[in-house]
Amino acid sequence: MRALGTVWRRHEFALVLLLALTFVVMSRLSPDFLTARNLLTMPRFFVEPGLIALAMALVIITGGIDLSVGSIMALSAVVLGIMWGRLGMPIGLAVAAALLTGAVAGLLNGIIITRLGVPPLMVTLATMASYRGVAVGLSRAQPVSDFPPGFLAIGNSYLRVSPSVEIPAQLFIFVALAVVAGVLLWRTVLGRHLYAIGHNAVAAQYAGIDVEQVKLGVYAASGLVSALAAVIAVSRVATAKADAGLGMELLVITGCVLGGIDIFGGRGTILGAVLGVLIINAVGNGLQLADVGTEMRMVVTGILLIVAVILGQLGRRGRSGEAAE
Amino acid sequence: MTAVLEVCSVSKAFPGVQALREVSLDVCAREIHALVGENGAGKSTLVKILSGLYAPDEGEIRLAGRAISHFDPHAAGRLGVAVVHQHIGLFPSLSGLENLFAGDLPTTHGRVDWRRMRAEAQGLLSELGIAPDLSRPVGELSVAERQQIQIARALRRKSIILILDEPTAALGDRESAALFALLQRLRQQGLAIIYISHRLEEVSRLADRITVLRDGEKVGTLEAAEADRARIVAMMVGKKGTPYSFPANAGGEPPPRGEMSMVSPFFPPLLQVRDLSVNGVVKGVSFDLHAGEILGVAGLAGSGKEELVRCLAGMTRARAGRIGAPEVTPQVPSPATARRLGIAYVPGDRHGQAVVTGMNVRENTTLSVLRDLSTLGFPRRSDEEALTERMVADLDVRAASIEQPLATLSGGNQQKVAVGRRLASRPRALVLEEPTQGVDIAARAGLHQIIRNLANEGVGVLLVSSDLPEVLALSDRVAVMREGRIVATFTGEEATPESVMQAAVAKSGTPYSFPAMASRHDRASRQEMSMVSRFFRLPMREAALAAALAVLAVVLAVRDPAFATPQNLLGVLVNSSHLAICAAGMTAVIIAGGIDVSIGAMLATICMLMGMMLQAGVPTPLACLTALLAGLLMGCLNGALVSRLRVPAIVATLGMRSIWRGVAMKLTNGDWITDLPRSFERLGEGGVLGIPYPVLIAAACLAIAALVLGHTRAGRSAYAVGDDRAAARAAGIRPVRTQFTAFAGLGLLVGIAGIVYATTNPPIQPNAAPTLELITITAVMVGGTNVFGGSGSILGTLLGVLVLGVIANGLTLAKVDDFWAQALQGALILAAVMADIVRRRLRRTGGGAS
Repeated sequence: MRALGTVWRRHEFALVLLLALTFVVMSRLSPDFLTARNLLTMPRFFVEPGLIALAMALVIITGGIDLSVGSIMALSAVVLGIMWGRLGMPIGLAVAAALLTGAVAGLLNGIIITRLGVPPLMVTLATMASYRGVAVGLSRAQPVSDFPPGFLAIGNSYLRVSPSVEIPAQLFIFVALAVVAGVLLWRTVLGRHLYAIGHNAVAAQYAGIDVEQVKLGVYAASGLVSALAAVIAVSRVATAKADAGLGMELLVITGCVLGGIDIFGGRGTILGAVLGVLIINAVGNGLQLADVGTEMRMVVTGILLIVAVILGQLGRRGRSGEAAE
Repeated sequence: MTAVLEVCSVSKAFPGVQALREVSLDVCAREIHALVGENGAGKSTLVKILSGLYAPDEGEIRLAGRAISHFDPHAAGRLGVAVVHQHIGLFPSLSGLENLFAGDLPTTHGRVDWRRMRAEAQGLLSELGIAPDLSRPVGELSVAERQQIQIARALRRKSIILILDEPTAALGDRESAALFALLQRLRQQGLAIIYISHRLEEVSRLADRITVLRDGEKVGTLEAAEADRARIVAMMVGKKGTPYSFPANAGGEPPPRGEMSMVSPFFPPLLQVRDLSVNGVVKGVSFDLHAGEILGVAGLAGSGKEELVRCLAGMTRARAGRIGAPEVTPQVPSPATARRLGIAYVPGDRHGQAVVTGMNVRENTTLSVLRDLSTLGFPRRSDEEALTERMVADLDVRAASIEQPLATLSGGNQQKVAVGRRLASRPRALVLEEPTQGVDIAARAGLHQIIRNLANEGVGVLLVSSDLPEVLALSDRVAVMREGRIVATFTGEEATPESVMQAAVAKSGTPYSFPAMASRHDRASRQEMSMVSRFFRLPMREAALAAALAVLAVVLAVRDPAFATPQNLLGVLVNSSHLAICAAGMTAVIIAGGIDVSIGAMLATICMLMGMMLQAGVPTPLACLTALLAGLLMGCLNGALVSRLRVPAIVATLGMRSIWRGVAMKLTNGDWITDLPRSFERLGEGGVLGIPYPVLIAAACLAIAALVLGHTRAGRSAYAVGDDRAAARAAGIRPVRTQFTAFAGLGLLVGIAGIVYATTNPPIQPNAAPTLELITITAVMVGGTNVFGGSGSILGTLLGVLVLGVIANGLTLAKVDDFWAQALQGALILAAVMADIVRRRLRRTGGGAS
């Protein structure tokens, strides 16, 4: 009962309303928006940023940030393409190599951040450039296609519920991982440690938490999940190119911040992050259907990010009662 | 003698504590008035009231006969109250000279007048008879020199009263003597001085009068002539009996000692600490902690006891020494060692690190033991609640429920949770630092009972407390620390307030020769280090960069004759000019503690806007003016978001980057703009004396930026804000305005860079300069600007730009694919930042200043 009484005050409730509002506005903008077909296609594009947002939420909750996720996607996609297309490895091995690449790239971020004490912002800004550069260089700017049908199924098959309702396969991967991430953050020891580190890393260390180890793991997870998103994206478009995941960091960070993840760490939920990315995605999809160009969608995303952070700041100030400078 | 300062029955209470109760005293001109008392006697509260940080609840402060009505640090400063604190107030990256004048730099015609500053500083210093090094960054100076600078800075403002809080805590013998000589000269010049110290020896030598405080009340004021050590100590500790027994109404008798404690010294030790040294503050401490024993560590502020326990917990690195246990080989202290040996540490509350205030009581209580309360990584809620309920009941935590956020509890209750949390982890050895600070009497008794019970169960407890009664009541043995050493250990009846206090403040012959030697050694090593660090000084850094640039150029010239041709070199300069202009602005933003990743998109939008205007027939000068204005506005927008609305710089500019890139594409729906008017194209082609306009414009921008950053108040403010925001605010500099100005300046420079870029890179494209922000940040980092703000130079940035330009040119000449260049850039930025951080860390540990 108590839970019911306070549910309307939660940030997630506001997000659900916002999502509903987005749906209303978008269906006004385009008659194609609120069709079963469109609603079932949307998840195909939502899954990739959604997956990365799961890891990004953990990163931001510990007080960090990862700008390199898009570039890790590119690097993993290219490794996948080269292993399969150029070296003729079995597709399973190629996928494994791609995932490993992502995990290693994320781990490298984490090592530089924790061992050398370089701010995550600078590290991932630098690796954002480096990983993308290496991806373009390795691929020699050549796309790889001709993937086997079994692989293409990951991003292009559907579960047919009824003749008009087909659920994209990758949505199941996302839902499974979202539940894992959500439970991890909400109900496990590790989740509690993540919040503690984000609130006050020094206090967390005094409490006996191995802060460096946890952060290292979080950045590695971010890399691994980005690689998984890359595998799904390559399968969906049937091409491995070095421009995979371009601008992904912006989309994901915007979704997380909009979803109520405190940019300074310590606060936020997986449900919020998922709803945030859903809203961003619905806005993008609706604008696209309404024939609004990519460029205006970039503008809208940027504005959403800044407004979300300002609102978050105001909420923070209200919560702690601290005066503005 | 007339009283300069009169404190009239001042009282001040904090939740749970009466810090001052009707304290009155007066301080005269030409007087050194010492304030002594145990920790917690109320000295620091009084100092904070005098320096304007707190307002008194009752009573009055009169300065030169006038009552102070408004309490704030600036007002106090203006009225002539100068406070020299141990830790705060200086800008570590700025020179001593600039620190003297920070917030109030003298200018002539808007330019900072360094010559006048030097002359004024020389006059001031020779008047004071001191000679700290004014040219080096303050962070590299010795503690004594920093203190001299603080005193000189305080006196520069025509102060009438000088307050020194524990000034000799970190000084060696000779340095202390020099300080005393200085204070005596200042007294002769008519200054009133309040001197707070634990070292009774120096107090009775230096002071004219001594006021003793105890438990927030004034015990009395003595003339120096009538004050002997024994009498002061007696006044500090009070009459034996009264304050030391436990209040009968609260806890009754002190908790009984367990039988085990009587024999514990004969038990095998639980923890063996050998020759532990921490950076000059702890000097070779050894002791054993036995099972079932409470070992109290007493000592005054600055005795090294806090550093000792932090080191045991693995939070501070030890310079030397090992800790171990009979069955464990001795190890270097670290968090892992602490875990292995079962050492649990409860930090003192004042660090704000004892608890996670954003979490609730339950989450805090179980944080350290969550793994033990969980199944397969899932905490068992019922066990969590049971543990928390028990802790809340045992320690009498006053919370509405165990789900109440800790931030909403009182300080005392937070402290109880901090202690309770560590008790929950069932440690072998418990290190408690100030466990009952700010805790009310009833709860204090409860905590003491729990600590005693733990010891009786066989846990070894190391109790570090400034509350001497607490240490004496609880401990089986009391070790007394002074100047980094354990100078005495008392057991049972020997441990009396007098004996412990005597040991803590004594300056008796034998042990004292050691610190003198040690400090001489410290000084020697510091001098050695300063030579090393002088090697790394700023101009050296730029010289090294210039040398690297020269080597790079020579290598390229040898490898490819096409490199060293005038056309090619000029081409490098022209191609780098827009980058140089942006980098000048970025340097200012990063120095002021910000960052801007939107400049590439800003530049593209500006170029598109300008191109469309030119195509529409708008005259070239007007189009260029619009570009400047647009840049300025965009910069102001970033500045407002970051400084005013406090959006993190990276997030704000990441958002703006997306917005401006979208706008740039929307303006022509992605089309390029060609056919620019001749008058505009000539800007890129023409030149003076063979030097193209873009290069001239860039040179002018860099020169102006160097002038502004180096020689105006606004520029110097940027350094101060980036170095230490709090210190800047205390010095009267406005961080919000300074950061805003830096972003606005960068915007204006991006406007200029837009014009240069459009003329040198036709046609104009919406996706112009896709990686400009990254290249710019790389150039600034390579040029040696600190990522965290506070230091950097335009000269360094220029060299950084040239290094990048030459590398890019070399890669082009060597026909290396473009995309590898981007990977290289990322690697370069990381290398530059890492080198900077490592260098800084080396210097910090080497300089001996923590």
